[in-house]
Amino acid sequence: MSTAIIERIKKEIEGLDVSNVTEEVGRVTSVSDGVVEIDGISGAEMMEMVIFDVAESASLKDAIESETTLYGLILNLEEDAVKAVVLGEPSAIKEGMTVRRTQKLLSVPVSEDIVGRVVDSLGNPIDGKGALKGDKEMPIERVAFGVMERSGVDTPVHTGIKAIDSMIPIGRGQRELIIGDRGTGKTTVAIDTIINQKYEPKESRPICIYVTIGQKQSKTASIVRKLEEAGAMEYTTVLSTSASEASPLLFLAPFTGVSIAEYFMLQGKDVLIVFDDLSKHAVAYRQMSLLLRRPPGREAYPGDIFYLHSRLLERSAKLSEELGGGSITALPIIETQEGDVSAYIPTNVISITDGQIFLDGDLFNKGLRPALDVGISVSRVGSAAQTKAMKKVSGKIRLELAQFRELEAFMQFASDLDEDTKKRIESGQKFTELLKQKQNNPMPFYKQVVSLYAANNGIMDGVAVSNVHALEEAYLEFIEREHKDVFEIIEKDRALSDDLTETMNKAMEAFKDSHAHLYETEEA
Amino acid sequence: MRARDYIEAAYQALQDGKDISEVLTGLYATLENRGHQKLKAQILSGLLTYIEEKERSTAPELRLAKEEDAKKLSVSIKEALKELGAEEEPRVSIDAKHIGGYTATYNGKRIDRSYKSALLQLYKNITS
Repeated sequence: MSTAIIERIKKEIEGLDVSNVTEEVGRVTSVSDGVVEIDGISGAEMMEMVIFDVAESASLKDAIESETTLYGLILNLEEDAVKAVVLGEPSAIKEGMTVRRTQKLLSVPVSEDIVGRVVDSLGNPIDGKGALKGDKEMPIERVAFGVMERSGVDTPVHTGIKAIDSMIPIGRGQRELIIGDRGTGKTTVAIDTIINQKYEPKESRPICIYVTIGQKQSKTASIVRKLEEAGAMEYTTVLSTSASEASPLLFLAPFTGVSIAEYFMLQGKDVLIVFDDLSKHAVAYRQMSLLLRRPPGREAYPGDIFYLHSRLLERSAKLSEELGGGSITALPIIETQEGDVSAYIPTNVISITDGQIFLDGDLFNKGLRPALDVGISVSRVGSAAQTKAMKKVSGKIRLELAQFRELEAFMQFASDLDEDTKKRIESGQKFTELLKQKQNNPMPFYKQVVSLYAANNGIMDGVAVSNVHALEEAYLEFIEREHKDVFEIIEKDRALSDDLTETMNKAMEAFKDSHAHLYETEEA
Repeated sequence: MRARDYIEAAYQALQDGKDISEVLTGLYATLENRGHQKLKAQILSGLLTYIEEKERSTAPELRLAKEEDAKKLSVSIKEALKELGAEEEPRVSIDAKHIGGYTATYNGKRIDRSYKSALLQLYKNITS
């Protein structure tokens, strides 16, 4: 044994506290389905952590080998018993086992080192990269900041998705719901947003937290890999709870995520947090509530299901300058069934958030990806969260697409339509094509501005709909090669000056001259 | 009335000095009058547990690793029981897994001075 280890052991022995410490203890009277009934501990508080003395009947050797400390969370304080949920494997708990109060409300240890790591819902690392030392204990449950402690949302979070950044802009401190059926690209929108943050300057780049609730471990593993490959893990924390974990751990996951986010927000930093997804969170909470014998309400959800999500999402905020100016932007995800946004949980969360991005299954199947239904998607913060440059170029798109949607039904009568209507339909088709984007390929906002400016000013005139993407790609490469300063100016100033628009107009002309092959005759 | 109310009433009757058979006869008659016979099995098993719990909370418990430790650690044990507020003689049991030392429990509070707990704590401090 090395000298260092011997010295460490000596130090620990000398420092060991051997004074009389009085603990408040109770006894397990029953355990079933992860819910433990405890007799005694009359001073217990709601949401207090308790420790099950699993080692009580074990020898020292067995106690050391089992290594885990089994915690419980008190969720019911009844007249003659206290009920707690087990935060771990309940099979180790036996009737008559001693339970100790910790006199601490549930909290998670957080430090700067948590960025770049994969943790569970108690903040323990599960990525095999070593232990995490907590700098501060952040309470899992806390009251959201009040009105006077907040400031307005005025800084954009760029998702890198043209359709969102132009028409449904998200600001730092906003809650924007991503809602749609299974397999419509909800997670992709969230992951692309995280990846896109690598284009933000390091000083103002938001720290990202991706919370998975009841997801398949294979899906989480592939997402972590994708983030690593894109270089996004250096500013992202993944909080993973898989489908096989107990419902209390799934219930805690988003609260742990937002507690970690608050640690950074209180330092004046911006945080982006994704909850994937809150539908599974609601189901886990329902399971736990039914086992705790709480009275079921509509669809067997407990009566406080709205409060569960409202108190979670209210913790996302943009703080005032006096409190550091930090923010938490939340992207909760809800899965609908058959596109039904009027179901119980979806309507609850829609009413809590500051807008929704609705992903439609039909549009997805038609090849329109991201499958945004622009008609019913909205951002209640709106252009207050857009840069001046983006505001200038995005105004026309919504109108174009709205007109296109109205005229789409008449497309089958193409030969009978007047020229103006045909032009509107053609323009709508081209804009729709332009807004399509490949998965995990977010576009930095300065490129989006250049692309949309060009589209608004006729660069797509004379181009076949099928050539729009090739045209956009070629044009952006052209600008990168011949006028790189355009990107730099837009990135720095975030506005379009007259000189800049003049430069872009000339660039468009030059591009059209040198890329005539893209302007083939349109398909009949 | 819930089963718990019947249990508490039966226990109170026993504490008042009534004979067990008298208490049970009265209990069965009450259950029949109120149409609560279904609760009988629950009340009887609950009453046993309730009596055990009450006895546990009224008498201090002392768990030692070895019998001889009672004399060796008498001063420390007396101090611990005083701190817990226990005045009666404790119920003593032996648990070799303690390795040494003792745990004293009274009225929902515990003082753990066992060698096993101290060694486990040491292990956790060193390995964390």
